[in-house]
Amino acid sequence: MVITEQDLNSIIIECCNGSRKAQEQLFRQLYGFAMAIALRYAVDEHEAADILGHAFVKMFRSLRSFDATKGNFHGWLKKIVINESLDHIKQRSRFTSLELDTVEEPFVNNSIIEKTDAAEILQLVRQLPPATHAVFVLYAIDGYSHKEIASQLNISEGTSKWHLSEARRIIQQKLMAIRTQ
Amino acid sequence: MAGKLDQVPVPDMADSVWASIGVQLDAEGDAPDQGGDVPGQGGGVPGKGYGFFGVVVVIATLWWYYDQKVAPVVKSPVPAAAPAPVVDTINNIKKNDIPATPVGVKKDTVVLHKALENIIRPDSAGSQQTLPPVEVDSSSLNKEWIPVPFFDSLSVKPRGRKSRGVKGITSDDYKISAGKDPNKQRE
Repeated sequence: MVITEQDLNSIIIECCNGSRKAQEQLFRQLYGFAMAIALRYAVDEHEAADILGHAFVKMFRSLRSFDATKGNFHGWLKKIVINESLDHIKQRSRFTSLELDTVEEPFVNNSIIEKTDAAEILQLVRQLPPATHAVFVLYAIDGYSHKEIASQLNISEGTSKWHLSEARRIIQQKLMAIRTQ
Repeated sequence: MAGKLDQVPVPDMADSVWASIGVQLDAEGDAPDQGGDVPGQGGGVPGKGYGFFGVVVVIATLWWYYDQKVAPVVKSPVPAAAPAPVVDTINNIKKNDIPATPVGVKKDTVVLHKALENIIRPDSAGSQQTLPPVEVDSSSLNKEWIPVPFFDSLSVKPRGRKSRGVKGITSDDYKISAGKDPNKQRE
């Protein structure tokens, strides 16, 4: 069931008033959208569910601070889920800044990607090292710039670029291995 | 690749995730509402929990308060407030209350009053712990009732004196005088 923007606003107002029923309704409306984001950053479904739980709790607690004039609700929730995902990744890995001047961008064969199953691609991304995984998803899927990634992860832009390059290289290798099998 | 990842099917974990969210919201004290439609997500349960917790806190506080309040009273050997009223009752006895012309045994009453004052004064001035007899006396004075047997052995003289010695011999007979020397008479 798809709800209109007006319905969403009325549910949000009820949530602000502390209605648990409205909170559940809002959660179920946004579950698929938010879970898809969390799945990209998590290593498995259970971690994604954990991320989602924490993200929604934060969202409900700060719902009164949501300003519709600054952006839509989905964009606001997406940012909360991504931030929560990055917190999880930071907990299980250490981000080190690398001093790299120039990073060579490896070529990724899009035709191979198109022929590959979505679940297989997700598995490949999850097999990346945590920092590389985070940078790749932030840049290639969620559209963050290297500057934004550097700010989010407390690394330099060069390091962000290196991680992206490393991610592409690893994925290319694995895709080639899958195709040759 | 972004388009491909969007095609990834979302696992059906909404119920379990919502359960954990509900637990976290309850734990963090978010206001639960009038209850949801989903089984097990009733809104009344957290309120009951808070109520029970509140009752426990109130009971513990009251217990602690009374425990703290009673303890010093038990430890202090001499209660400061208790003796004061008794002393006052004695001092506040108005002389008008005591009948000027007591009925009955006049002489004894007067003597007993004096004796009573003599006994009470040291008690009230000295140790204030021996209160019960004084209290009884003060009340008895107001009722004009005199506890004769209590003071009898101490200070009240017996009414009738028992005659001593041999009849016919007075104290003058024992006086020694120079003129009458019994030894000389014998000689």
